[in-house]
Amino acid sequence: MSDGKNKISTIISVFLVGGGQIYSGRIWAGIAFALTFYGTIALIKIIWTGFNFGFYPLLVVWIIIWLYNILDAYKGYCYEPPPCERNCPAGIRPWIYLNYLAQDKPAPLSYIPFFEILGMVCPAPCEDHCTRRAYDDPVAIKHLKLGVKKVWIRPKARKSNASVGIVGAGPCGLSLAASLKLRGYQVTVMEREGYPGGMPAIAIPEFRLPTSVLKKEVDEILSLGIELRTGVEVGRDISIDELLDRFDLITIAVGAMKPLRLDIPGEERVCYGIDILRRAKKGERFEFGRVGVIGGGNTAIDVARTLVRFGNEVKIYYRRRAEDMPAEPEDREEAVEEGIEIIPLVLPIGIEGKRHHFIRTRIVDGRPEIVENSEFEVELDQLVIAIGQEPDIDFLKDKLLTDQRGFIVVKNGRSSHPKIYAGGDVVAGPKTIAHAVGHGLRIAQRIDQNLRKIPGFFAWLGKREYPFELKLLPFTERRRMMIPHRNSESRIKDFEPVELIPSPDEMKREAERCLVCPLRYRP
Amino acid sequence: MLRRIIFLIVLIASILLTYHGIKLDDPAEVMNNGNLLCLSCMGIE
Amino acid sequence: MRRWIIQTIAFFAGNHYFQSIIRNEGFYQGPLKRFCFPYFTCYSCPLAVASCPLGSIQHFLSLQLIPFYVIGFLGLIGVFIGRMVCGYLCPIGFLQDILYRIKSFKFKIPNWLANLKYVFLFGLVVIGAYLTAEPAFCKICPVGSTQAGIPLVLWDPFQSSLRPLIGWHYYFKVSIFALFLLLIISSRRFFCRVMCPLGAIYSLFNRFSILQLRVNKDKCIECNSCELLCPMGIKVYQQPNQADCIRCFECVKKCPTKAVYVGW
Repeated sequence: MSDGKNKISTIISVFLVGGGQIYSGRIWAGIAFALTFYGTIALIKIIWTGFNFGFYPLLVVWIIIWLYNILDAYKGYCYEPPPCERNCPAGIRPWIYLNYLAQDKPAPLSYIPFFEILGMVCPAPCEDHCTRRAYDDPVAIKHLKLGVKKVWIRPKARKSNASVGIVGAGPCGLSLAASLKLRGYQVTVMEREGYPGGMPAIAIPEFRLPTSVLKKEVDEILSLGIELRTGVEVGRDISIDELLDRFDLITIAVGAMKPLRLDIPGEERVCYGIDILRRAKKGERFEFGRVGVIGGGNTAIDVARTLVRFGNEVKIYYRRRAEDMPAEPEDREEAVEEGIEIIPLVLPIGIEGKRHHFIRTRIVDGRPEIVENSEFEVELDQLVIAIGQEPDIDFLKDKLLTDQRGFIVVKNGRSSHPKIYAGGDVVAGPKTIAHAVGHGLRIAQRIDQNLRKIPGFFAWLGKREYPFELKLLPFTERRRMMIPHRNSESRIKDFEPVELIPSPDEMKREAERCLVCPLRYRP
Repeated sequence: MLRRIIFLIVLIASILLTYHGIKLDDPAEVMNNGNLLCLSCMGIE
Repeated sequence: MRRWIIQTIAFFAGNHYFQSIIRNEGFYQGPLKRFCFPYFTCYSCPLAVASCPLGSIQHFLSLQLIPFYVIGFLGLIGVFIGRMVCGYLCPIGFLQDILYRIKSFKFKIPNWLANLKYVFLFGLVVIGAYLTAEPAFCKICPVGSTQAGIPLVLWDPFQSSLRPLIGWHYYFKVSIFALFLLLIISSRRFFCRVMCPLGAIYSLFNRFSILQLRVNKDKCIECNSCELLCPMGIKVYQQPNQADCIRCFECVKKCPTKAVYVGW
């Protein structure tokens, strides 16, 4: 991140304490540094009574001030992160783009791949922590991503011959690839499926994320010059040892794609949520009739909503209460609007033909417990299981450590094998796209540090703040904008997006609601 | 409740200390000291 | 009333002996010197009209006496308002508030460093003064340099009787002063949090003083604005009355949900 001024001001500051700060527009900081440095020198010169050993601490302090002044000229003033920035798994700084949007200027942002896609499918932890909740509702941070005019501040590219192989072209793999490519490395991405995109391409249904949007984003990333090889499955088409030979470093970002099984009698004839979503995206239709979906995550809700659109009668069976579902409450409500019934506190125990046996549960200390003698039977044409996924990484079982559930154990992005990094769902378990993008960007930083052999402290020193032009706008009393939805009768007939994009003017007015916490709340 | 008790004890203790100090003519000693130039503060040996 | 107005008034209430400058006659030596400032101000400052509480404590201890009067006085203030003196009266706190607003590169100090002020209090103010029979903390005190050392030596009202005495110690104190300036520009109330022995004394009263901060847990949305606002960098919604709280009430004034309030 740089605008060129930082470099010149650093050089000025080396020779003239405080000069660089004044050059970059921070006049008071310049005066303060100059006064502490030249002021004490002048004081000592005025009262000079001869050299003695008390001069040594003075010398040390002057050197400290001089060094700190250089550091300050280089790094600039840092804002304290507000809650939205602190809680973003992808490391986005929402308050900056909100402020620029409110000022109607293009926002300089550090490069974040999948930015627009996050604006459509992110669960928005930033909004859950937004300070504006204190007055009315959080700012619509997520949706405003679609209205921001961005100027990417790209990481500085250096010529490098180091090559990095990435297994898996999902959000983590692609954002890692993009970030590394921008830094000047040779990147090759291998993908098992015939097309890039990973989980968003496979399992996020059309009505939440149109394929065209995803394709545009993926194409943009690939156009940076990333070598993509689709249809290559590591372990079958190419072995992991071959990869380790060919690349300087490899990263495993294969995600968690293997559906978890229930292990109940009669499970042979059930379907798995991921498979249905994948095949539905390819154009297959599923007309089962009465369908039961097991699970409470995003996949379960997505499967249910997809199946409703094929004319099925769908019920979701979940072992806890509806409000305990890991899925987004918004998505859950939308599902209910679309006519999906959620039946909480039940657990499937067996399947005989079309007769599906369930047992009731109750919540004891936050955990579901089976209620004795409460078995009941439901006639369903098809049971769909969407209770979660686990990674499918048998091909590197003997190379690195995994935990009991099969996820790779990492420390700072690196697995127990020194040449293998890992990120995304294969590390953290099924999480959001934002988590995956954040992992990708962080691993890119780590790999960059590792390949250029920079210790962490110097990497921290080198990070600098872009001189944002932020403005504290007056508090507006406006309520949160309504994001228009299509009504449930029309939307369950097709796969067009459910949420409509608000007008640019409305987005600007919504951005004005942002409190800009780091400016408003500072000592 | 404990807070109030500690508060009361410390309050009474402070009043007694101040009273005792004034009886011992501490303020005069403070003034004695305050009327001298504190060379340590100024950094002069 | 705005806090900075009170801080300015408090500074001039204790430091208003302008005759010293006008008549060029050194510093105040009158009856008011029998009282201590509630806040941290050097009594060798040409403007000061009262005594420094820490200097007095060290004076008594170096005479092998117990400073009943000073401790009782500080206790009387602390038991009612805790560390509020730091937030509303102390001119050094005011200086730090002003200098922190400068847009320079900032850093956060780890929380355990805040315990260092107790080391300064017991190590230098109490034990150091008792053993060396000299005001030990004054020897490193940057407040003394700011208010007395540098102005008096530059101004030199005593017909150049001060400058020839300057030795290694003055250089050392100027170096501490420069470091002090750098640190208070770049970290929140560095002196208050890490060094100030007077703050350490008042902080002992914070837990049971009459004045307490209260957080309404039902209203609080944990937006962290209070931590962003706090001159001392406290997570107010977690520990409203921890030893470092200076009761500046910035969090009370600006809490978006009005969840922080002053209680008894």
